[in-house]
Amino acid sequence: MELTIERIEAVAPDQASLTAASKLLKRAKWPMLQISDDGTVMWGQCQGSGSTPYSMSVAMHDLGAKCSCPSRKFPCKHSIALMWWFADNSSEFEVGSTPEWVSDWLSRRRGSNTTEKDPAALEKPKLNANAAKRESKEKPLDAEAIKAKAQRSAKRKASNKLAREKSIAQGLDEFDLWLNDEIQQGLAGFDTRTSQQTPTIIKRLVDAKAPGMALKIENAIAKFYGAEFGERNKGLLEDLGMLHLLAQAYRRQKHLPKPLQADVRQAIGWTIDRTELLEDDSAVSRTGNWIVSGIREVFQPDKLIRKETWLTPGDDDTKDSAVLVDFIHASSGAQGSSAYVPSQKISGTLKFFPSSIPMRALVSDSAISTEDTDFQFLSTTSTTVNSAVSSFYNQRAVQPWMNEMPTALHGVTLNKCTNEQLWVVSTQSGEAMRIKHDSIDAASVLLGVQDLTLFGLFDGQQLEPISANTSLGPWWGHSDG
Amino acid sequence: MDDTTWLAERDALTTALVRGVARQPVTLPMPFAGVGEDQQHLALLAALAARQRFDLPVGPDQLVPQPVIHDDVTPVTGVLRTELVRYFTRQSRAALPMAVTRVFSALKARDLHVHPFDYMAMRSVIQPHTAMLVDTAFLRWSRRGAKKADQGALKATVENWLDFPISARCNFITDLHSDDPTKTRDLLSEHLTGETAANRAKLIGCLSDALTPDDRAFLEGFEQDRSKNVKEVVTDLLSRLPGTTQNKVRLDEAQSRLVVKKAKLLGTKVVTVDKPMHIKGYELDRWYQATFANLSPEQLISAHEISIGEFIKGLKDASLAFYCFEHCVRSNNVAQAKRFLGAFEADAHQWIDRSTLQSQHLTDEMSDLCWSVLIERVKKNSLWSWCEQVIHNTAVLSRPMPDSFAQKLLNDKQLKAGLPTLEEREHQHDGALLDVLVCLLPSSCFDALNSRLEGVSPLSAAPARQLMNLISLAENSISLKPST
Repeated sequence: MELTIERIEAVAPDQASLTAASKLLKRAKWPMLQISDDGTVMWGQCQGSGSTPYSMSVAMHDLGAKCSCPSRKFPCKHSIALMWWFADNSSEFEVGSTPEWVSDWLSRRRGSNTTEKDPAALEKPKLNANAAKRESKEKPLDAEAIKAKAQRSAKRKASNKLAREKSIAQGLDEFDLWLNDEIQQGLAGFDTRTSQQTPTIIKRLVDAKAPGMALKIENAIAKFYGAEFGERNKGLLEDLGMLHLLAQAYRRQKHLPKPLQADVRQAIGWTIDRTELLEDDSAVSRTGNWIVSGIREVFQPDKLIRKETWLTPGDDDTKDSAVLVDFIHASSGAQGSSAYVPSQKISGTLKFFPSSIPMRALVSDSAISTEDTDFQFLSTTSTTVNSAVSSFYNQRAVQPWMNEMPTALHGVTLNKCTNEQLWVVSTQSGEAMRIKHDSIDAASVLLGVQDLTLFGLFDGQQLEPISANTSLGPWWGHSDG
Repeated sequence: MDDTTWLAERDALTTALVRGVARQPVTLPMPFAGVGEDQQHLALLAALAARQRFDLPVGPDQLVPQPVIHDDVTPVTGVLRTELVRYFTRQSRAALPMAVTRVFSALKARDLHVHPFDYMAMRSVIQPHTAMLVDTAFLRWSRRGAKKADQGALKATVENWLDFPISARCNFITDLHSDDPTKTRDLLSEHLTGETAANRAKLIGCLSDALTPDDRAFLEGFEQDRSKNVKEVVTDLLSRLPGTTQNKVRLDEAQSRLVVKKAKLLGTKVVTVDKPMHIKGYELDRWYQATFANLSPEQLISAHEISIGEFIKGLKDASLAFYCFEHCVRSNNVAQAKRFLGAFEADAHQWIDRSTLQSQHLTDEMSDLCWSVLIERVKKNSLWSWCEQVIHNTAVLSRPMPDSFAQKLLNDKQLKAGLPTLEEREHQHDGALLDVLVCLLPSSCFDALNSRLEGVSPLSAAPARQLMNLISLAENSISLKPST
């Protein structure tokens, strides 16, 4: 895929970075500008204020970048400037053999790079800088020592896991106590108590190593205050009730089917390492073609931005939708390394996180290809309003904590209600689905546009529109396409 | 259990959980009997929550049919659309009003509109300039799509305007008066008697912007109002309408303030203004406006034995000359405007910057005249320093500078020397100097400007190149208007 200024703008964390990068576009500042012979990675050196120039490398297909500068922004101005140089004047780049620091970085990158990995680098365990220093000073270990070390490490891991299970169990008991108190006093007084007791139980759950549960309480509070006054108690009752159900499910996880068990553990706060997932042969994987149907950024109460790239099937043989998720710290202003843009077509293999409704995935194979296409949903993936509702409830029956389901509705228009609500209405059947209150402003541009295919996230009651195929071209609700 | 019983029971249980089970104990349904006492209420909460998550969504109330969007919108597409969004949604600085005017005038001339899907992205950038924005489809959407909160609850209509605070009512009446004067007068006639004197004065004052002779009868109905404030407002408005007693009084006052004397030696006539002694400074400007605005030079001199030529030649008061010039602009009397500009060469460039003139729509002929004034000014100053100054005083110019002048400007040595130091200069201004220069140039000169930008830093040059590209695309796109 061609490297254009638009793509660079899309990955830049903010305007200031672009401005700073533009100031680096002087040839004299760049002692090195090189690209690999297969054109998949470029690297360069940029003279900063210090004596040693900064070294940076950029993977061409997803614009993932690495730089030796201390900037907290990602990608930094040097990496952006390197991309800019290439977009403006690729003839300045010499073809060269990949230096070791670039190979090292590529080998450590997860999943989706297109260069051949150095087998030796792949076998090396991942090291941080201090560990690398230590390793260079230590003598090489023999096979016995390596085995013993691995055993010690496994034992330590098991012991840590046991301690965490115990800690989580205590945290969940305290959560139940807190929730019981809330019910005794009445949910109507929840808002007056949120500033006192609630932060305490959130902190307690974080201390008990159940950060997922803590985040869910924070989300429930945010939702409570965001809801219309008359809807607050109803929503709170549902959220807190489902949290208690989650705590109970965690306690009884041994009795749950494996995929649901995985859902419950992830919801409580256990994470699955990306590398482990990619290496796990039992994980669900699908090979096919997908279209990037929209990108949504959600600002979480824990100051992380959850960037979701929604993929819908790109041909008749591909059946499953998927979501790629990146977490970025809000203060960094970064947009994540995933540089997929709406309407892009992705071919390759996706590996799904274990779940009873597999949806979150990683791009797993190294042969992934991307191309820009005219945005089109396949009509086979779209559905009617009523079948979307029943499909949603069928899935929720399998995974009770499921909150959203990707849904594509074909042959619909948007209509306003007398009470200013916005509805998606099927042209043929008249079936209707309400548009989420927060999305009304953005989606109102679709009013009066006929015969839409609308893609969005349905929560059982309302739809959050993400993108649409229209006679006026594609519409993107969250990200500029 | 049937649905009605279940729903009633669920409501009772939910109410107990909301009010607090300590205050309103609940009798737990049978399935919870086996649950431990400390867990019973939690289990009830979880069961209610899980059940609630399977409530089917309810359908809409009355749906309002929407007009089909294709009928009234021909959106820009392709590269022009991309460039339009790209330029106007830059985060680094606000859109230049001149750039908005230049680009949107070109689009309007070709009957092209902002793509409806870009309204959201461009709303914050374009909205401050909606007064001069020509894209009616966009304006209609910005009213239609605006949230209630943005409008301060609801938008005033003929039915509900009385429920709004007075400022919102005034805005409503001002807008309505420009769209439908008859309806406005009817509404005011019906409701003004119930208003306080202060509100009556404010509401009647709203007719000022789009005042026409048709308003005369309505205004005369309030001449005998019991409030002094109302009478003052009515008198002021009537004085602007030709043929009214108030207009005659005002004209008499204006004429009486003119002092025409003969110079001793040559016998030429000298015209001055007899200003009230007690009014000074800013108040004096207001006095000039109240006394002379909207009166033609011919009306002013009709009480004196002086020809229009002698008046212009002998006028020694620049403030009065400005109001005469403004009247010429309003009535598109180019020849007379030229004579005033010629007689007041030193002040002319300042007139073009006056806010009262900025609100006028200039015809092409009048725009050329204004350019000629600025060019004359340039002859006496450095081109480059003028170019910096021009940021502030060319907002009134609806057309780019003439081609010959543009070429001269681009070949100016000081401009060539000044461009590379642009970045430092930019910090001294709110606007982007290069963007202003682009807006002032005809698109035929863009290649020449492009070549002058070789030595300029990408930071300054890139947005200017972007703007040149956008203007060229807009001005060279195919017109959708049927040729006449």
